Amino acid sequence: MDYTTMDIAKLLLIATAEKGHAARIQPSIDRWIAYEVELQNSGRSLESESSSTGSQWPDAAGKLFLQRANENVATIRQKQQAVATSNVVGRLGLLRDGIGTAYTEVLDAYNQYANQTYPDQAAMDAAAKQAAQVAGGALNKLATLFVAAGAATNKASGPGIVWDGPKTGESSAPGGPPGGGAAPTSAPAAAPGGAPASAPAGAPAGGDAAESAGGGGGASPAGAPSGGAAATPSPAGSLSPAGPSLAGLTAPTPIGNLSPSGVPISPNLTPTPMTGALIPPVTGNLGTGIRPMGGLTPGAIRPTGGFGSAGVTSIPKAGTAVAASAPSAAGQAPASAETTGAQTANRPLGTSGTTPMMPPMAGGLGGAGAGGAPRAGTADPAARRERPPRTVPGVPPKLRGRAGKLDGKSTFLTPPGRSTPGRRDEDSESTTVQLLDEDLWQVETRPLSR
Amino acid sequence: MSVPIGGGVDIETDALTTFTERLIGPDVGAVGKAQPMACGGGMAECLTFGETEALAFAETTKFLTEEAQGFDAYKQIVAACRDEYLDRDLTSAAAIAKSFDAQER
Repeated sequence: MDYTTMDIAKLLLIATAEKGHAARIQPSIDRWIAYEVELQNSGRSLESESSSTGSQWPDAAGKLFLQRANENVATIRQKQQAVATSNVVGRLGLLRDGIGTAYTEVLDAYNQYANQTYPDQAAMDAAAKQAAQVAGGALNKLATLFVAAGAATNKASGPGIVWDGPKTGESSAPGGPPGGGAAPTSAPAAAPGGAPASAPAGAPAGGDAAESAGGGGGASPAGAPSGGAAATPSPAGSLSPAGPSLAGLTAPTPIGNLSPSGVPISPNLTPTPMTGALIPPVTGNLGTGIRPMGGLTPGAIRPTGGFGSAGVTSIPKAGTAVAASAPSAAGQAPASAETTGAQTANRPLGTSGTTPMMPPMAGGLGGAGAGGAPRAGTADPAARRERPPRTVPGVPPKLRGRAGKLDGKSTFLTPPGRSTPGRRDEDSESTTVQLLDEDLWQVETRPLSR
Repeated sequence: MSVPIGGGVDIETDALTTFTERLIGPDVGAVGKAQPMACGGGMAECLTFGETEALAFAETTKFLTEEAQGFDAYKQIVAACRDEYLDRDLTSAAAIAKSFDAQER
């Protein structure tokens, strides 16, 4: 703005106003001076104290502390240098003096204009314009001082230079207990528990003891003052004593952790392979009597299916057969055991998904020597009709085996003494007691006798 | 928290105490009295200067405040470090003593 174009009277008002504002410049100057002093003193304090402390704190934490402190000192120095190089104090002083000078010049110019008498209006206007030139010139000069002072002020503030050190909020939160009050209470509190070893409470001894006991553990105590994140030097990482020593003494081995992971129980070892893998598929090599008795190996499977081929030579004795005929036959009439045996023999074939045919091996187990290969229909009524109509009293047909077939060859069950046909007749014409006994056992043959 | 480890623990804890006692932060109140330029009825340049000065005052006050807080934080950090060192030392000593007692039994 060119103040020379303005009216002299207005220039005087402006100059007067600025004179009143000048009173604020000196406090501003003092402020900048104080600001710089604070920066200088605080920077020196941090520099000297951190340097002194760092020299006695040579471990990793101390080095980090000194490094961060030096960085912060540099920041403070930058802020201070901004004030010094900006010459804000000098500029403000010039502004302060310039306001007074400008006011004086404007006032003088105005008075020179106002205190004269002019022969005409034109002379007065010319005098006013000349006064405005002088006063305006003074304010133009003052304006430059304002601009310069403003630039210096902006520069002195050091925009862009921010505090990068720790902050109270950051330091107190992670650090937990503030340093001041925590020190005297925590240290003695730990001492009594330590029994006779409270001696290392002394600073030097404590450091040595800690170092010797700690080794290179590098434990990371959670309570470490990590204020300011990386900016805060924390001895936590270097405080190895607690880690190794305590870990070795109080927590020997986490036995509990071994039980879950040490004994891996794989679900693949459960029943699935027992029925599928351990029981070979019935491809014809196994007899019909082999039942996949879930969970048992083939060697443990008894050829119970041999009963399916009723009347074959390999039938065991009655007592054994009943016992081996599985619980399904227990409690049932012996005559029905034959049918039960046939069904039992067929069961594995059906369940195994194979065709209901007699595998080759089955012949060796129970089907060899029989009139025909045992099939699913072995237990049909036709087969039973081939059984002897006359039976041995007290012995169910199922349990008789080959010897029980009276129409067959004589065996050890038909001793010479009772193998005669007459004897059989006697049997057929047995006594009441024998008939009663026979009726009790002849469940299936009863319809035939009737 | 990542703290470089190397060289073991080495500390003179009294130095930390001295640090907390002797570190002097800035006095924010020392710069709190001045007021930025008010240029009512004055020059346009004065108004601009007043705005600049207000920003500068705010900037410097902010910095000094953060610096002062930072110095307090420094004191707290160093004091906490000292306490941590001492506490760990005593704890370790107690653990060692306890282990020896257990062996004697």
